[in-house]
Amino acid sequence: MVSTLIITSVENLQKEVNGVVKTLSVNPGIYVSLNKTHESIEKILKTNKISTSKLFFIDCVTSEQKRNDVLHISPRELDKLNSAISTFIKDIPGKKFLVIDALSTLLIYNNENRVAQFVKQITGYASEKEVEVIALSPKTKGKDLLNKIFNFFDKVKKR
Amino acid sequence: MEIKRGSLIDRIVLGISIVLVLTLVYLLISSSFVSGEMLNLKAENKNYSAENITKNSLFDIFITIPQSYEKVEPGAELLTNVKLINLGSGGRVDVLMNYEIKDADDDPIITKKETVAVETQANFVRTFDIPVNAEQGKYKVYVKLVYADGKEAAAEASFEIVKAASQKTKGYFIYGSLAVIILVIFVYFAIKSKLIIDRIKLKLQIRNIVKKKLG
Repeated sequence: MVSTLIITSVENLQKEVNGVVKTLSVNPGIYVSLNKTHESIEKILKTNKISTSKLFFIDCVTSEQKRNDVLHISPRELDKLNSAISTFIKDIPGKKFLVIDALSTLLIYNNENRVAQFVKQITGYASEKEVEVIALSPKTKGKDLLNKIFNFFDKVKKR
Repeated sequence: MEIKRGSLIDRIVLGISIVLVLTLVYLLISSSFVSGEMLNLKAENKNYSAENITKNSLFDIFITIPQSYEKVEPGAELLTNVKLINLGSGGRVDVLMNYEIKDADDDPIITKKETVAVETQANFVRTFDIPVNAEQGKYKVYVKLVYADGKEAAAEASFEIVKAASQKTKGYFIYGSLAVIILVIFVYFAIKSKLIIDRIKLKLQIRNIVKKKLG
């Protein structure tokens, strides 16, 4: 399966997310939300008539457990986040996708090398399974990180 | 007449001189005799006194350990103060001193003998080298004095052999290090097991989420 890094402007970021999820939502997917709460994302997606019935949210913004089908993981706990993603990948049967929105947010809580290592682990694991990985990042943030992780993705799209 | 008078005076002087000389000789002879007698008498007295002292001696003995030596470490020196009092006749007497250091089971670890000369009273210090391999515990120093006709006087004092400070420090260090290592291992496994439990919980939660959503 393909892994893609989409680098876009902050203004276009949500638009890109909507487009990706809309395209892939026929299959179940994992949505790692690093800069919006799952409620906010779900609301935006529903407003854009995108189905969230097969979406599994990992909310890295809030820690308050409101729904049982949403995981709350701190962005500092990259090992736990990695473990949760790999478990979802393992437990969800058939084709699936993974959206990481937005990758550069991890730099606020972790150092560049640790984030690069995390990305490598996820893309490596996903390539072995039937998972399409789409990581998004704003243009302005984490240029050094983006330079380090380019090679881990099959495609890099700059918009 | 003059000659006669002169000869009379001479005769008187001569007579007095002879008397004086004789008196002097007598005095000299008598004095030497007396002094000889006195010497003999003194010698007799001395002999008599020695026998008397030996026969009439009555000794009291004390042994004390200074406070700073009441607890000693193996390999250290034990210091004791010994006091002998001759309560009998005065005079110099040689006495045999037997020292023994015994453990709580009455087994001797050190024995020592010596002869000490005592007149009326003697105070002296005796030291003992505690063996390096001596066990910890309560010990006693016994001192027995043997004098005339096998008569005896005895005294004792207690002290304790304690663990060497260096050994104590070494012991504390070993136990401390062990405690720290055990604590570190315990904390490590506690954290590790918590992480494992958390992972298992997370996996079960994800499994339930997936099951619920995808049927």
